[in-house]
Amino acid sequence: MRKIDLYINGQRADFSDESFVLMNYTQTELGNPTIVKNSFSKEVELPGTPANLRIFSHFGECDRLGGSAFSPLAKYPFSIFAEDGRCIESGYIKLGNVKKSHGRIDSYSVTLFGGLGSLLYGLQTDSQGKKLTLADLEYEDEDSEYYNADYPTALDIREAWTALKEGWNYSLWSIFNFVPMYNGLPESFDADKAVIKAGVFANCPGRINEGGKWYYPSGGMTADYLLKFGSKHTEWEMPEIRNYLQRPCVNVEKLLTAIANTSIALTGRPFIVDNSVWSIPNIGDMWMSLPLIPVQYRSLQSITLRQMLEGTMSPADFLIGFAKAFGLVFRTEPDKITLLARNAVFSADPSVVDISARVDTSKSVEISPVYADSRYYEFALPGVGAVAEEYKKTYGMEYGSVRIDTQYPFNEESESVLDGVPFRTSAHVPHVSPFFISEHFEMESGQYLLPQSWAETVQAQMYKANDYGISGEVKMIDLPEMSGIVVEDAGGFNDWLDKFEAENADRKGQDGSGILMFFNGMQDAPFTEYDDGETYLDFPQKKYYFTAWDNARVSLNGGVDCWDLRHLGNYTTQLPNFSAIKGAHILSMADTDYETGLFTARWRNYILDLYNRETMRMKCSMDLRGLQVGEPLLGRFYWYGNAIWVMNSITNYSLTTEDTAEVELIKVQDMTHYTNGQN
Amino acid sequence: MAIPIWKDITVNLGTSAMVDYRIRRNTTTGAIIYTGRSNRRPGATANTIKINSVIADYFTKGLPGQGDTFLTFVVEYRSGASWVSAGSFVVQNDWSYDYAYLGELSAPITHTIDGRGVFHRTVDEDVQSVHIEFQDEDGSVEAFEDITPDEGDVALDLSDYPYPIMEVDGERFRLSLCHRYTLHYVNAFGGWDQLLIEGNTVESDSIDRKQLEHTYDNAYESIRGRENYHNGIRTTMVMHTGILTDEESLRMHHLMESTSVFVFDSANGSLRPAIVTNTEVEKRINRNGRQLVSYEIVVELANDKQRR
Repeated sequence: MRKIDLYINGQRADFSDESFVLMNYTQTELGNPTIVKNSFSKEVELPGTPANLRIFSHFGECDRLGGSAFSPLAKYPFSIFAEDGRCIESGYIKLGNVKKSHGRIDSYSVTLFGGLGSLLYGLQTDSQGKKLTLADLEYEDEDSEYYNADYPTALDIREAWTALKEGWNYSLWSIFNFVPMYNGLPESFDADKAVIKAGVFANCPGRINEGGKWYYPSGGMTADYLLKFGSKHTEWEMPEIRNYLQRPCVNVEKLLTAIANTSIALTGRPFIVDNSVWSIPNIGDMWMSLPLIPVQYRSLQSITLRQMLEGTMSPADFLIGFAKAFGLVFRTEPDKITLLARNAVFSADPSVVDISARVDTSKSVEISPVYADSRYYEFALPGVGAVAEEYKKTYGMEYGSVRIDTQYPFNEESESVLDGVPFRTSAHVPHVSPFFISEHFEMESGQYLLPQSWAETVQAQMYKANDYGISGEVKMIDLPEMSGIVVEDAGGFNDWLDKFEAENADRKGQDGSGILMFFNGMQDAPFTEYDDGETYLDFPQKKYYFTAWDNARVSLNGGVDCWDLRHLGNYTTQLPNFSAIKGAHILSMADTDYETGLFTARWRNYILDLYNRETMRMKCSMDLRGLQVGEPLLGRFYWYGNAIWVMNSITNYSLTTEDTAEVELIKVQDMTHYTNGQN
Repeated sequence: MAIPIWKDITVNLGTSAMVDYRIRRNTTTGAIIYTGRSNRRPGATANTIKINSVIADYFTKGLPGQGDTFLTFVVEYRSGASWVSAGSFVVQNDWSYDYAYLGELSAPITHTIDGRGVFHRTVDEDVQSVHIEFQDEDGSVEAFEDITPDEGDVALDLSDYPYPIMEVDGERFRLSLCHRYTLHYVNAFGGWDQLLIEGNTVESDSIDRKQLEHTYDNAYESIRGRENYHNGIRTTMVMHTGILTDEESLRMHHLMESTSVFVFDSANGSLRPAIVTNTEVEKRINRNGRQLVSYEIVVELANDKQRR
């Protein structure tokens, strides 16, 4: 009888000959190869011995009051040690039920959850059962400075984009930043109104004569006043950069590092990201969009990281999604869990093991074809934005998705294999708008001009003057026209920088979080040089003006936020360029004519090999003595019957007896599909 | 007198409808082994608990002559901000269900014991000394010892006393050199006793063989296709007592129902833990005077062996 010791919460547990501890290890769910598998055990019955009763603090006695003793709602670690002192398995236990007879406790049914499950559980919820977000991770920059999730930080987008431009690795903005996106018309916001200062714009005077009477801003000739446009505008039309209206994003490489940094604190287990993951092309420039900052935090001078990351996905959801999208594998060992590329799993030791002497031919050896579950598998991420919605309506598939034919001939069903992945896809396009005009706010004279060539009626909210000053009678008055302003094409102009969409065709904002993108450097607004040698910036919206929350502005508009054209000295002529493409890679499942998508780069070769008509599955009993049984065995090649195989699963491997285990092997068509199939 | 563990120990926690309580080992500052919240039974005036199921598992089993026969438990209950004692209980590891029990701790089945082994007996903790005399057949005392019990346990190596008779506080035993095996066990009163196996013993091994078959090249005669790669071995000993009297027969249950049994082998002096696997014991009385009474005891050694 193999001897092992089971420790629960640091105390040695008794278990009987009959409480076989059976472990299962699985590499791939053959029906859906993207599913992330966990090693687990069947329920173990622990007898009601004095030692076990002490471990569970007599849980099961009807009047038991636990106090600080064993609680079924807490996670207790378990470890299984072999005779030689080696830790074979570890994880967490869950108490099932307690059986009593003749008035005493007979046994405890316990499930042992191995490594990966406990890691992901710890990254999903805290000890109180509250769901974790990305704010619960420890973020560290290159200078080993940790960012406290509850410490207020001024959200300065200029500083954030300077950090991007300069390549700073030692600031919060190397981890988090803002991606220009079409986020739709902002919520809780009058997007058809703006505040200007009287007299700053040539066609926004300090007083307007209407019907022989003078009208003024409510605060007098030099005060601020409210403009109302004929339609609503977005920040790119306006053009204004608000820190709380720009979309936050997180650097993927830094996020993976933060998960690895925090794994012990959250889960008790070290989590390591292998070099093969860091070698994913351009991962250092890969970012993921996040939810917009919640409305209730707009008025804050500073915002905490926790507030900024409110509503984000859990670290567990990100990890699983990233592993599925990029074809990564979790390798569980008793002392750590590693995330690595499939290439790395099989190329760590590409030598082939002859298992002829280990397969027990006295027991049945079962050979079967490898079937997919459905005729078609879709590698698709949900699309967001008007173009993605239109694409789906037209083609019946998600934008950027791939549908593969598994050759399964017994149905015509299509199955989405990336369900549950928290990423989205969006078109990276320039919007067209008549308000992306070629005329800019600032005239050659240095004065500002509000473009009336927006071809809409712009009115000012003005107050009537009386003998005693400015009265409370308010009127919306058309602004005076300025001569010399000509627009050649009022039909629409292209935005000069393509952006991802998070708005539908009606410009209503959608959930634009979870879009993966590459940073491709800062982009200057294009310019044209005239023949006379003078240089002009003549493309739409050469300047984007920075604005923050302003109580006075909000009060002027009756408590509702609106656009602000008062801070014209604070601007930029550069925007960061985030796109789906960098070099020869695109962050969609599908390829383009010039770029390789994620399916081809990370999955195609493996899928081709797995669902090949010559591939077969062999189930047999195997003698695993002398081998260190665990997930590493699933990353080797084996020789049997003149063919090469990989081990896909080990079932019912007993830690307490010498019996053979049931093993499932998958025939390999080309070893390089496993060792070198990802790029 | 100590309370036998088989008997329900009911503790009164006062009259509150709901009361927190705790059980400690030994003293009011001893380790807390259980905390509970007791609700008064409907219709009852007192809030009471029974502590047997919790404290029973705190009696440890050691080697012959070791282990707990008597343990003390203290029960406290919360009254306001403080803890009040509900009593201190000295409990005996006695599973005899004997209402007439008078406090004996020793109940040897027969009075013939192996003169080459160690004699074990358990006495009351108040006993200061146990007098053991060794005699010849004519009754003359050839040697004696006055042994101070160690927490009630007495142990004496009999190989130093080559005499046929031993008296222990007046109880007479015959020392035999003729039989090989003795079973040492905790009797129903919680004390240690031993039974010399005067009948024959058959020892056998049951073998759990693990085999597998694999491919091989039959061009060579000596290449193995089927392999026996592991044997798990469990040893069983079927022992027979000598002929027992009615009185002796009625004491067999002390051994047959014991959960702590060891096998002493005088051939090599080994003392091995074992488990009695009989599932019933008859209380045989030779009423008709014709049938002689003996018992078959099936014992499995507790430690399995293996070969690879």
